[in-house]
Amino acid sequence: MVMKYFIVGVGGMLGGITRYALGKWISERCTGIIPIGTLLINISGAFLLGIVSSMYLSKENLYLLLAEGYLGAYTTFSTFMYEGYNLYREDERKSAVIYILGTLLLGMIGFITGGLLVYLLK
Amino acid sequence: MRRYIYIGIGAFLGAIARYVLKNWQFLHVNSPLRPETIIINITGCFILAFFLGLAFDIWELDPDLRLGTATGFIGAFTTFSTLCRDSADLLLSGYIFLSAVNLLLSVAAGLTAVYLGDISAKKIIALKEQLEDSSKN
Repeated sequence: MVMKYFIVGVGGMLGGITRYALGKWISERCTGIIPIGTLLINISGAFLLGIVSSMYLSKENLYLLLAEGYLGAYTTFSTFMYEGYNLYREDERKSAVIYILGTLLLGMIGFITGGLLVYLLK
Repeated sequence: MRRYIYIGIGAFLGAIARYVLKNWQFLHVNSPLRPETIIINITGCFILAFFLGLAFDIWELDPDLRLGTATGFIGAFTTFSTLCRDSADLLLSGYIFLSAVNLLLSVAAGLTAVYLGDISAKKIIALKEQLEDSSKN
């Protein structure tokens, strides 16, 4: 049982580091007020979870590592909301709405696309 | 490099904390909804706003430690992908309305939590300044 926690933790560690490094890399290259880094990370994470969730992995531990651990930590809701809130507070209301609704919509499309991809390729 | 270690440790713990809460039977309901995801996310939103509100102001917090806590722990604790999966599950089970509610409720509650965290931090900062002013007089 402790092993499960450790596996989730390791996946999480890697996911969090990826999120930070990739987010930083993207932000350094994309100016503009909408947080493209978080946006791309959240959408790609949703897409990947769509894939992993559809695969019915035989080893539960592998699912824990990839989905619960890695992708759960790679994507983030708190940063997303914090950034949306700050956009709104800084009077960038239109951008806030676009960012928030855009993330939700693209995230859902991403997840479903990932699942569809696995379904079609089987 | 040190920064990555802090973030790695924070994320390691954050992911485990999320997993522990997720499995709390106490949070489970007999419905297609997954309130545990929403509760985890909202809690994280409050803590993040509150923590950063203080960390940037009254605390002389080491930047790496701040990153490790905010980006590492809290960032890993909350999750967007699971939220999408929950809504997709609802959608595919025919609960189209609930699927949208799941997302919009998460956002509404998340933004409210950020707001509350933010003003809570500001309140504490204001109180601290009041105390400092009155002790000078």
